[in-house]
Amino acid sequence: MKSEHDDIIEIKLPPLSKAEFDSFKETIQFKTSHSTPPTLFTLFRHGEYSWLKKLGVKSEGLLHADQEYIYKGEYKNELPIIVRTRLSSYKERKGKIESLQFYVFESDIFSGETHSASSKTTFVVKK
Amino acid sequence: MTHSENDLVPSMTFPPITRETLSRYALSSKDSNPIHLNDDFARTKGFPSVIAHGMLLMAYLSNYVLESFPSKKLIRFQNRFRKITVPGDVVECFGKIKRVTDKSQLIVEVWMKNQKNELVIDGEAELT
Repeated sequence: MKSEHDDIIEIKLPPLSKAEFDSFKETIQFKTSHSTPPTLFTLFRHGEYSWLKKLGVKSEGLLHADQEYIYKGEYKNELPIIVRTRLSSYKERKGKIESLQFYVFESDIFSGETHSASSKTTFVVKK
Repeated sequence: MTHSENDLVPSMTFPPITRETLSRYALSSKDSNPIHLNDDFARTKGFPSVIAHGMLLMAYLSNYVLESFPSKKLIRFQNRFRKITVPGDVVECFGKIKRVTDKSQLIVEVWMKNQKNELVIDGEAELT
């Protein structure tokens, strides 16, 4: 799929503290013996938010349509995070009363030097 | 444990969604979109009240997958958000084994329904 914007936004984030990590696990009732909640990477959406700001889209009222994660390597908590995000597609569907805009972002998330996960997020905006 | 295609995975029900749940999730996930926290704002967007974060529900569905297959490792997880969830809703997770490879990798169809039997999320989990 051709990207309308070839730029990649790279964001460097400070490590997630153990307290933040534990708080997230507790909030979602994560109780398994696995070390990392599969949806932890939702904490690292900064590239997507930067893209939305760049595109002039307000995040308030944004709806999450689809989410995919591919788990590449171990996530290591308390290491710096790097997120690289690109806009992989944009579509608008115009209806009689309102139109829907679909934004698809793809990100690679690194904890330290390990490529921990890739994500693909679809947001919908009603206009 | 051996798995076969079309095996159903025992379902799992989560406690009712509350406004407190959404507040706590907003804080720990750093997603404070007012659509999840402010009823008046949610109504301006056409919703009856605040709605649950899709990612909170995806987290519940991922818990279900991992608790159902404790010896397996998740390699891919995809969810499509079909219907909003509001405070008071109770969600139940379901699964069915779609494919078993000769390397014991599983592809599991997963879905979540609310107390009205409405589809909230559907998707796939790939495990090894």
